[in-house]
Amino acid sequence: MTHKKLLVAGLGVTLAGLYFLKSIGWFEDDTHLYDEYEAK
Amino acid sequence: MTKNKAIMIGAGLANMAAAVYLIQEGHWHGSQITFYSLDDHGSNDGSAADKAAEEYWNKNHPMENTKGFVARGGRMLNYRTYVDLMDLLSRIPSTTEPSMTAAEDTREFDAHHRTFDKARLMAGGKGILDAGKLGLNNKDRLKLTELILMPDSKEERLDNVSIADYFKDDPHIFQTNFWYMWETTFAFRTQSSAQELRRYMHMMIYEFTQIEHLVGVNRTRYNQFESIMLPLINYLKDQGVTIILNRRVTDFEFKQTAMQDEITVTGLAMVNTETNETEHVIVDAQTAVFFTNGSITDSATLGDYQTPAAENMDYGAAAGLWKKATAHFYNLGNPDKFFNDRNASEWVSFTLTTKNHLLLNEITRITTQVPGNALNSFLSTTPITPLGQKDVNMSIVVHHQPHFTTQRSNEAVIWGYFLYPRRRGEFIQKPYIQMTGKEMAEELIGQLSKVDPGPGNIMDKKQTILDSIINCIPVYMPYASALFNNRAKSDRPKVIPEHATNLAFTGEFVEQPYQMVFTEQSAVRSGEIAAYHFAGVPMAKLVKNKRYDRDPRTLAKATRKMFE
Repeated sequence: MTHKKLLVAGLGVTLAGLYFLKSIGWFEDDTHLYDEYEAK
Repeated sequence: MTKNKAIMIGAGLANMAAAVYLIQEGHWHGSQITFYSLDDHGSNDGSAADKAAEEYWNKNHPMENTKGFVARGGRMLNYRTYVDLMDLLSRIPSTTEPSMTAAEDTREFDAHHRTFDKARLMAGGKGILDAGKLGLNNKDRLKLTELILMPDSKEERLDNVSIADYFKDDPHIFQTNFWYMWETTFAFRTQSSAQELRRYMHMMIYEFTQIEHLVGVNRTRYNQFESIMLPLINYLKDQGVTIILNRRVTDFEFKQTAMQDEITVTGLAMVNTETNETEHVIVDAQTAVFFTNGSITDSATLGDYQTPAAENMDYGAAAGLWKKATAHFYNLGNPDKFFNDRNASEWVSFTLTTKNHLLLNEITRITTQVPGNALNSFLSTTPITPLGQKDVNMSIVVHHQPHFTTQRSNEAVIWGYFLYPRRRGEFIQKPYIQMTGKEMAEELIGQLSKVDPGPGNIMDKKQTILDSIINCIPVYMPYASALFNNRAKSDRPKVIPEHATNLAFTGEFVEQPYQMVFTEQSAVRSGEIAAYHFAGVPMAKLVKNKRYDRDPRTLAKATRKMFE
C-alpha cells in the first residue's frame, strides 16, 4: 500500500510539474515564430 | 519575396542594421541600398549642442545658448539579452578604437568600468535607500507572478490593459522600491501597456534578480551616436551605401488592386527639407522598402540655460507617414495609439555641461559612487501622484567622463530626466516642462541637498556650481515613451505584414515575437528579420535569443528576490 501511495504521489507531483512547465511556455517552440517571414 | 535593391525610409538603428545584414548575410553590394532620412541617428543622437540646434526637428525653436553637449536620451545595454545588437556591433569596426570591432570596444570599456549602483534610490531625510528591499507584499507578488507565468501564447489577454488597469486592485505596488526602480530604469508610466510590462518581466527576469545595483547594465565607451551610430554610418558608406539626408518622405504610392489586399509600394513622395522642393522616387519591382514607422524623438525640441523647451505639437514625421499607409490597408496597425496620447508618453530630459568637476565631485560625495553610468532617482518628499502616493521626482545618469570625444578634460556632462513633466518641482515651483535649463539645475541641486549626508551641504555651493555651468539643455519629447503606450497586439504592424510584397516595417513600433521595445536589441532584430526576408536568408540564421523566463533556476532566483 505504501509503495502504491508513493507511486501515486510521485505521479501527481510529476503531472503538476509538467502542468506548471506547460503553463509558463516551457514547451513552446520559438523556432516556428518566424516561419511566416521566410522568403517565398 | 526576394529583392535585390532596398530603399530605407529612416536612418536609425533598425534600418542601419538591416543594411549591414543585407550586405554581410545577403551578399548585396552597398550600392544596392539607398537611405532617405531627416537625420542619420534616429533616437540615438548625441553631439555638441550647436550641431543639434541645426537639426530638422528643432529648426522652429532656435537656441540662444548653443554651448555644451546634448543627448536627448541615453542607452543602457545588457549583453545577456541584447544578443542581436552585439552580433551587429561585432560585424563593424569601432570608430574611436582602432583595430577593435564596435562590440569589442564596448566590451573592453565595460569590463574596466562595471556598473554597480550604490545609490539607486534616495529620499530626503533618509539619504540612500536600501533598494534591495523591494517592498512587495503578497498581493504585489501574486500580480507580478501572474505576469511572469503568462506564456507568450496568452499575452493577448493584456490587449488594451494599462499598468494602472492591471494593478487597479493593488495600488500598493506603486509605492514600492520595486516600482520606483522599474519605472525609472525603463521609463514605464502607469498609463503604459501591461502587455509590454509582461514582455519586460519575461525578457529581463534575470536582471530583476539584481535590479538594485544594475549589475546587468553594460555601457558603451561614449554616447550612443559616437559608439553605435557613427560606426554603422562609416561602415555603410565604406560599402558604397547612399545616405541622403534632409529628406522627409511624405507619402506612399501603392499598386491598386481589385481587392486592395496586395501591399506593393510603387513610389515615394518626399520633400527636401533644406530647399522645400518636392521629389519623387519610383520603386520598381526589384526594390524593397524598409520603413521605420515611428520615432520616440520625433517632434522633440531643445531649450537652453535660460529657455524652457517649447512644446512641438506636430504629430511626428515617421508616424505621419505610417498613418497615411494605414489609410490604404487594414492590417498595418494603429499609429494613433502611440502618437495621439501625449499624456501617456511625454517626458523631459536635460543635458548639463559644466566647465569643471565641482558638481560631479559633489554628486560623487553624496552618492558615494564615482562617475560611471549609474542611475540615481530622487523620491518626492510629499505625495505627488493621483493616487496620493510619493513617486520619483527626477533621475540622473552620471556618465563615465568624457561622454563625448570632443569633451575637454575639465568639462563634465550629466544627463537627467523627469518622467512626468507636468508635475511641479520641489525647489522650483513650476512644472518641469516649463523650467529653463538653469531652473532644472537648481532643482537638481535641491534634490541633492535633501539627501546630502554632510558635512556641509551642497546648497552652500549652489552659486559656485551654477557659475560652473556652460549650459543645461532641456529637451521636450512628446513621444519619449510612446512605444510603451497601451495597445492591443494588432496595433503594431508585423515586420512583413500579410500581403506585403515589397514593404517591411522596422524599429520600435512593429510587432515581433517576444521582443521588448525601447531597446536597441528589438530595433536591430526587426531590421535583421526584414533583411533576411528580402535577401532570401533562412530565418534559422537569426541570432538565437536565450529565454531566461523558461529557466527554472532564474525563476527560482526571481521568486526569492520578490521576498526581499
